[in-house]
Amino acid sequence: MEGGRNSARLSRQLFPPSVNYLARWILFLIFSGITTATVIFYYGYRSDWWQGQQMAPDQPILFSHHHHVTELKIDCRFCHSTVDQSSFAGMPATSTCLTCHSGVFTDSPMLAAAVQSEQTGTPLKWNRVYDLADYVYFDHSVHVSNGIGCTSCHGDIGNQRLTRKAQQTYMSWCLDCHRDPAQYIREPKDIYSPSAPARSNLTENRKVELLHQFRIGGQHLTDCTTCHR
Amino acid sequence: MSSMKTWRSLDELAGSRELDTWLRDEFPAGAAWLDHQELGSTEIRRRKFIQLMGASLGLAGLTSCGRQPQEKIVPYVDQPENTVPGVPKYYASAISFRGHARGILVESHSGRPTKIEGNPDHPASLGATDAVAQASVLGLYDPDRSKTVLHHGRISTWDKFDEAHREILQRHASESGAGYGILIEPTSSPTLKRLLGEMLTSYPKAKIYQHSGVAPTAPQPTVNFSKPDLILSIDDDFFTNHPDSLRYIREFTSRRKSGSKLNRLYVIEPTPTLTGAKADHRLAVRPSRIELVVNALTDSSIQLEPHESRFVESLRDDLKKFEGKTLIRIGSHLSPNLKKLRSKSIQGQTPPDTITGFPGLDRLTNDLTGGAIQSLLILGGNPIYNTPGDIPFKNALRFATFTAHLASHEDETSLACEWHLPEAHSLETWGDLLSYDGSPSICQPIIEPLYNGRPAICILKPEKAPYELVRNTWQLLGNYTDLTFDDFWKKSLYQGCASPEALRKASTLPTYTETDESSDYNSSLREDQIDLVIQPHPHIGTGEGANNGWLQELPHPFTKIVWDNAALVSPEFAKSRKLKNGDIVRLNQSIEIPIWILPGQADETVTLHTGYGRIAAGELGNGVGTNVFPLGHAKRISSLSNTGKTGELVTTQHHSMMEGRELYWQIDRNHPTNERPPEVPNITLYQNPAELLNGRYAWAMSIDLSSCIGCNACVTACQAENNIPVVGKEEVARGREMHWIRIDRYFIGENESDPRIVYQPVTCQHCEQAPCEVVCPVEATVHTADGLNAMVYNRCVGTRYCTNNCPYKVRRFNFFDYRIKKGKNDPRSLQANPNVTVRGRGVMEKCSYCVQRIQRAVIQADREQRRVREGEIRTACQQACPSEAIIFGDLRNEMSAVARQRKDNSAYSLLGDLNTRPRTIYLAEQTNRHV
Repeated sequence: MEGGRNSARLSRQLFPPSVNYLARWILFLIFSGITTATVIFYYGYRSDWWQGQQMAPDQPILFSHHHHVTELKIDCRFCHSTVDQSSFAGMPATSTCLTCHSGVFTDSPMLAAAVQSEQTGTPLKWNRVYDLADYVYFDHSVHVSNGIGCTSCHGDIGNQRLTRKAQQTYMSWCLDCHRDPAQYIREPKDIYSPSAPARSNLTENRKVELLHQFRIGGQHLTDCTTCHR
Repeated sequence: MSSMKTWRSLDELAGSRELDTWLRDEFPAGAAWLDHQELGSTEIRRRKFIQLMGASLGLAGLTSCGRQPQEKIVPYVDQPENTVPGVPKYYASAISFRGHARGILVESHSGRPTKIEGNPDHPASLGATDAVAQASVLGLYDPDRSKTVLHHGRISTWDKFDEAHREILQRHASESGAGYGILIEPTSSPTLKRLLGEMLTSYPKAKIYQHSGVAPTAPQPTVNFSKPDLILSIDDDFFTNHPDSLRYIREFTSRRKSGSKLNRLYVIEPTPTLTGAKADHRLAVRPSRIELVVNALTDSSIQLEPHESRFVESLRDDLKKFEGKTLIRIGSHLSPNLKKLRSKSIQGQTPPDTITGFPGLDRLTNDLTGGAIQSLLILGGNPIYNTPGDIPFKNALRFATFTAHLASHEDETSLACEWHLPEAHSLETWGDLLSYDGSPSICQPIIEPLYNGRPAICILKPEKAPYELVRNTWQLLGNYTDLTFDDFWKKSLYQGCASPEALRKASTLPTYTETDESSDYNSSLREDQIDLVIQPHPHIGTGEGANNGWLQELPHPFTKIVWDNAALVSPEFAKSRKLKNGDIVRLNQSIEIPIWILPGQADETVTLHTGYGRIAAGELGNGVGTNVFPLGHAKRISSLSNTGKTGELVTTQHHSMMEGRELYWQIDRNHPTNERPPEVPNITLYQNPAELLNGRYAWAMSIDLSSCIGCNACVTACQAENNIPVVGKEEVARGREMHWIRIDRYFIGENESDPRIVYQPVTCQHCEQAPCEVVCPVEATVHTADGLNAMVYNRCVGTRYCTNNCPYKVRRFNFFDYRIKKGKNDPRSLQANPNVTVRGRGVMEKCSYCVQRIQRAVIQADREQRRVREGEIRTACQQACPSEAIIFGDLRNEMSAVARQRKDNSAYSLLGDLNTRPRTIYLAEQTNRHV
């Protein structure tokens, strides 16, 4: 009698056998859900869409590198004048734009912002295309003085009508070159070429010669302090 | 000598148990502080703790989500010539020290001054700075600076003040200025003097007074301190309290370097000073006894204590031996009888009188009370705070009908005045100053005034811009025969100073002369009373630095106390009166201040430092420490009673102790022993350990203990350069100060009342076999090929294993987020060096050998396809150091100074027996004691 009462009470508390399947399914779903979320997060985060690659941010002036660099053959350094002296390549002052544009296309609505900037004395505010993390101390000057050209990072800038990020700026990408600069080294005359290929197309011998000439290579290139301070 | 006993405090000498407990944990009782620090005073229970931890873990992952915010690039509209964005510019200027010029170079990043360096071309700097100059850039960005003109505490405008001031002048004009007074700080500024002179021409009966917390230095002959073989200083701290002290330090220590002919320094003083600490023979004497001791030099009938007579005998002997090669410096506050001794000294050139000399505050007080002055313009200074209590200036000021005060902060004096006028910082405006030797400097603005402030010269001539005023002075007084004025002006501006002859002395204003007849010295010995010494605090001065966090947190050179001042007494004094550190005593019935027992202090003497106890200094300085000005000009303490209360004094003297090993080495030239620092063992399992570090360069540092005087300039320079936060008194009490370089102060000798005091700067030693690196679980601290022990902030997860394993205790941990929040309109963020990461919470940090400076030079060299040259890289500490004690360079270059010093006989590695192979080495201190 007593046992019967007890078993009746217990049976009310017991889960039916089907719960086992449910539990397994739940465990499986939790596990696979986490995995899927991680995968989606990882690839989503690193996607071109999220990182803004190949997208041209809005700019106050619809400036075309294709027109100025390829068609008019203006040197990079005309506008980015401090690229070989400073970490910062330099952005042209309004007055630099107006060196030419006080004569040509002065009334173009595309240039209205520059004209207004000159008249009111308020600087143009460009949206940054390449934005490295604040703890990275990238230096343009040391790259362009040592055989690394513009297009290695900025892609086919000569054909870009609106400037866009040609390259995701992960540390692994930086290290790719810092571990083996020969892949990207180029002739001094080609450094500012807007159409040179990103990767070096020189012969192996010439690459070694250039590495020697620029005195680059060595363990210090991958030291943390080279880029982080 | 290894047998000598070094100790940091009396507790260590006595082996106290409390100290042992402190040392057991490097950052003691960390978690226990969570309750009242983070969450008010709610007690943390287990459940709450788990909730918090779970939430922070869950939320921590999310912080990395989200797109990077779109950043802007804002180019110039019209880019100035020679401007290279990303490359700092340096401008020569000068800042005032006791009214005299000290030449500086100001580093400016895109228009914001971030760092101050010494100007190598300036005679009073020679490229060096002191801690106060280093910290002045923080003063520029002080959020508490006054931002507007105030009239009776209400916001007003400059126009309204100018109008009111003009009316006042018109009112006094009928009596040719009688009743109108100006109170200035002692100054050497030619422009200010010119304008004051013009004021006196227009209003001949107007009166000018001057006041400063510290009496200006009376002109003493200028001597080249590298010349004399023997220097005797009688209570004259020429390393700290002199406008030319940076030059004196440089010259003095040039005779202390390894290989040079050592000079010998005797110092008689009541309380330890930097000069006294460097002395070969130092005698602590109470002020009223100094004359007696000095007289004993010539009069052998005077009875002295045994240790005193030993000192006097060797001094007497040396004075004879070095006759004609002796320099004698006597503190200007001492009795004229003593000053007769100067005839035995090397005679130097008399410097030009550069500082104004007007009647002081006592006269002004009488004139105000008597009604002779009704309108008073106070140009700078803070007389209500830093006037000795026996001058009733505050009451006298109430008699004036018009009062206006120009100051950088709305301070105690501003509160008592009708008008408060915001003063422009010296980095914001034009000005000029003379150095001690008369060389004029132009002070140029590096940044537009942040808050509508004006300099003193513009108050006197509001219709003209400061640039015009200074330019007019130089046009009027300049000696430029072979140049056009524009060239002369540009040259002087560019160099930061001109020769003393470049400006004529045109002002007819009186200049400061020493008043020997003043009765302000203490010569009559009274055994029953306690002598009192009041000194300006070496960092806070007479209150100017009170709201500057860098200066407040800079440990005092002797007590290592931060954020406080104390009454310094000798161990004997404390023992006889049963006082211990922190006991609050009442002095002369007027002030209450905690006691600090300082070995090396003269018996029966209490030393107090000014600059504390401010009530209107700003958020940081208010209520910190004790105001000692109420004691007035007292030279004695008639009553001292223990109040029974204790104050919490925070000192860093026990922080980062490297227990009981042979850390400090001294070599006495005249007692050569065989004992020298031990050879560094080179134990390794590698066949050729040099191959492990195969970088292009091998960076290394050497620190010369013979040269280091412990002035703390390097500590503040490092703080400015490397964006090091200020943590506050409570955090320092927990051993959490953030300075990357610290100056360890040791006492040497068994005798606790008369020890030698020595200094040893300690920073990351950049061990080739660094113990910190092997214990880091995330490779956040790694070695570079060039031999730097690099710290990678992004990898650091805050285990703090590295600091546990560091034998030198040089690693610092961010227990809190000290970053200055964006968008809070806090100007301090403008000071940050853009080339150094601003660290967040939970990250370890430490000296990087100024890796940003190394990289700048390496990039420059790589651009030019060459190697970095010797001397091209100077670390922040090295650059600031007035004694050139710190040398940095490349060991790959065998001719570099750092490579040569490594081979010096006195070179040793700190804790070298641990086989850490530090890249920093020390040169043992050389002393030159009388045989």
